[in-house]
Amino acid sequence: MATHAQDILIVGGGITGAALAYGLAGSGRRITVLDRQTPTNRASRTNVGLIWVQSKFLHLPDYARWGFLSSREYPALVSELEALTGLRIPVQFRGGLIPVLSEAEYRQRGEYIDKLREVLGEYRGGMIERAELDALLPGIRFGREVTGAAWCEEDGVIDPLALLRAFRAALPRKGVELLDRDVLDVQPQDGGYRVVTDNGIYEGGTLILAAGLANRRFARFALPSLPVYPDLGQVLLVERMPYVMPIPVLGATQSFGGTVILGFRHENAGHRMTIEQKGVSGEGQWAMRVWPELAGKRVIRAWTGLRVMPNDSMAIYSRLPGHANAYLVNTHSAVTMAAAHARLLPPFLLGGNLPETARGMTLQRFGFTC
Amino acid sequence: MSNTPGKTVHIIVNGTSVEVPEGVSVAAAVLGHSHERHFYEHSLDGSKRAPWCLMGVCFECMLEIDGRPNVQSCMVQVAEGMVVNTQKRPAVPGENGLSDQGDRA
Amino acid sequence: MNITNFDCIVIGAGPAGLAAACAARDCGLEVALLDEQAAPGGQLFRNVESPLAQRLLDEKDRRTGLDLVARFRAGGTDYRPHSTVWAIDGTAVSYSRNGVSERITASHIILAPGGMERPVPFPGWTLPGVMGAGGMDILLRSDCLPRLSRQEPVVLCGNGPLLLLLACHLLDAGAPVAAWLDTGDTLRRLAALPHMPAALGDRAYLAKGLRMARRVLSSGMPIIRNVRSLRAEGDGHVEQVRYTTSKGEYRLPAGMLLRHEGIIPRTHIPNALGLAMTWDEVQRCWHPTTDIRGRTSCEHISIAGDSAYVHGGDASLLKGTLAGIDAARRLHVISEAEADHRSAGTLRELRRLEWARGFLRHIFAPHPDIFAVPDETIICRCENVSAGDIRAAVREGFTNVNEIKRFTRCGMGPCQGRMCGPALAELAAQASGLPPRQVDMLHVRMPFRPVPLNEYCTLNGLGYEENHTA
Repeated sequence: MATHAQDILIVGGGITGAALAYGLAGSGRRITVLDRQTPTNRASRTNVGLIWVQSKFLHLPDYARWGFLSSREYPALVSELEALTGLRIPVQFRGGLIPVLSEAEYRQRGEYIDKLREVLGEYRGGMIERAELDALLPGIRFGREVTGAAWCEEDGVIDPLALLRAFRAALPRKGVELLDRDVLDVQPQDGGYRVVTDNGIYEGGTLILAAGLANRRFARFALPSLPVYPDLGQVLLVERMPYVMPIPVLGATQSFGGTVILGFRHENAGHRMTIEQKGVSGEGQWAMRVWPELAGKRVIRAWTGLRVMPNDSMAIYSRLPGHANAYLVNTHSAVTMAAAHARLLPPFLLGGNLPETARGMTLQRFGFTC
Repeated sequence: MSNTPGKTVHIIVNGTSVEVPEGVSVAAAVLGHSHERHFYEHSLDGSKRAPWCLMGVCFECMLEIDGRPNVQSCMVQVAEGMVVNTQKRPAVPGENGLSDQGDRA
Repeated sequence: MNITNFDCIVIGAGPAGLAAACAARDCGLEVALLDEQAAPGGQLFRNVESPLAQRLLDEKDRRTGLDLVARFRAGGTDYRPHSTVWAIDGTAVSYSRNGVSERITASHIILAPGGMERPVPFPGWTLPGVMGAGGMDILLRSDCLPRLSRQEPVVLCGNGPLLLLLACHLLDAGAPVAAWLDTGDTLRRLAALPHMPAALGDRAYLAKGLRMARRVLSSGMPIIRNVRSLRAEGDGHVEQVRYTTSKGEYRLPAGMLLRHEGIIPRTHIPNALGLAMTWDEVQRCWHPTTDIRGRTSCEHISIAGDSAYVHGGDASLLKGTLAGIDAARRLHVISEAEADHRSAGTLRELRRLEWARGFLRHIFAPHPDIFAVPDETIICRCENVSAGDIRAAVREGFTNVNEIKRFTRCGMGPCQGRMCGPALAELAAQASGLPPRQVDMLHVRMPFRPVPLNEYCTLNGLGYEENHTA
């Protein structure tokens, strides 16, 4: 089998692997990305595309801040990708909304956001009343139970497949080799790393594991048990409607093509990927209460995807224990964090330090030495 | 249930009453008796579309039937008094036509 | 009483489904049959109980169809017409009927959704007035002939026995047919058939084909061979057909253009259920992997009729019978010996037919050139994805049709890839240099057919809450 030598090998070419490769291009290193998905390992392809930073991670303030940083890097990244590839990436940076269905829920969310604002020191958003919600999305007739929404101006939504396609189209243009390979084994060898694939052996001085759930097996040479698990999401896709949602609604998000994606369930069910009508119907019921017009619209597809979930929900950016030149990147928020990954992580992956906000995101928090 | 020669029902297509054989699909009746040139306008580009298969495969026979839009009319039997309309491309409130792309704030 | 548990659920009321239900009932099973249409018959025997439809069937088919439907109606199957199956989850089947969805279960499920015309895109095929030949045949059988004239005649284009049948039906109906544009070489091939030993094993079929061929040839209908580069043109409706032959480019005025490139199995449900599939190199299509009794890679699901492999209506009837008997055997309602005894004659007859028809699949194999369409051709009608879009994605390195789907939206619309799947695979194969079976087949997701959200979310038997819509 042919052997190929490179400076940096990236295992995984989903949104995360491609974003890292894109960010590293231009560093003068020879980079190869090896990618092939399996049904259980393609989170980038089952994504809604929300760039979502609001109303979360009160207990992980740095991670919340990291999301805001990424959101602010996004417009520049998208412009750059579009200019480089000539591909159009549908995207909106007009904020995001979480509708609430009662006064109690309105208060509860408001209190959470107030605490978040206090902890972070800055938070561009808050609760809005029903009238204001109606004014923001005049094309939607919200259900009578909707009392208002949580709103944050730093959220957004992007066509995730267009983003991935643009990243992948950009890589060869920036001198990065992107190869469709089934990765069979990853091992350290002579101070570097050796990746055996179905078509050639690849050697590199630096290894970056960005293979989502597959990191659980590829990192085993250094980590007996990676604290990352498959988190099942189930989604219903409703037929195309006129485009009325320039500001995305969490849980019932209209895509740029006009279809509406329903679902927000998280479930730890191993690698099971079957749809459970009963489960996903709960989200459908919620969506019909929020946006009653959906009731008569047709579900044209349902699908599941396995998210990549670190045990404490926070991203992992880390060197592997005992390996100065082997990195591991795992995050549940590949889309939201893509701009941070492309623009803020490269210095770390080239041997430097993590940006200050992300310092706490190594494997050390799980008790590993690295 | 099934049609015999001579047995007919009336359906109203785009406001006009049409006599059609009993037991046939709405799509067949609209093609063969009210002679509509197209069934609906495509939501992406407004192009005029009409059935290809008449057996539930192509989803090109969408009509508004008794007030329900986007019904696969080849799968629905005609019934006396049924109100059938061909469909225009849906418009966005406050905008001209459909935007398939997001714009930048 | 509304029964929700059965021994066997049959899906589809064509020859295979009806025969399966009859055979399973004969063995004593509790059987439900779900079918989309209003009356039993499927495509071949569509509306067979109506004199109108009977007119277009030959004597043998009419008798077979009427007999089968009568046996079915008398046999005690719980028949549920107007029922669109949209999900199968283990042994549970969810279907929509008159705007309400229900869920029933059975120990065994027999799929008999039948075949469909192979959709072959070409420039202008989305214009109204351009249809599949099968669609036109349904119109004729519904006494719903569109308005045609000498100035706006029918043009036929394609290859395969169904086109021949349709040509005869059009002649019978007195419709003006301007030409038959042959993309294969249907009539000449048919003429060569009697010289093939296997075809002689199926004399009835052969005689019928020759009779139809004589009818068409003697009608004076112009038959133009080796037609390529077909185009439909017009403003909001087909007005003109353009094509090339070895001699040059031609135009014909047309009010309708009917295309036919053979019948392929409907694979949507087996695909969504993850059943093993086989690529047929000659007929260039996927079909579920089954044995002669319709057993699949999933023990409690079998497939009968043209949806297993296209052998035609008479074979479908036999396949349905075998599948129905085999379901009873599997459920231990009849012994192995009784199953063998009940199946023996049918098995013999089906083996003979399959042997004879095996040659037909070569005779009427689609010409690979029919998919060599120009870049501007719409491939995915739902999402308006062009051949050029697909080729661009292949150039970017995407060769798996499911990857191409994600990045181009080809196959993402309401028809779920039914209309574009075969062409997408052919185009991806052409552009990448891979054989079609290596570019994979489009994965199908439930619901098999679009179902309103409130129906999906308030299905019976799942303990769903009442819906909360205003």
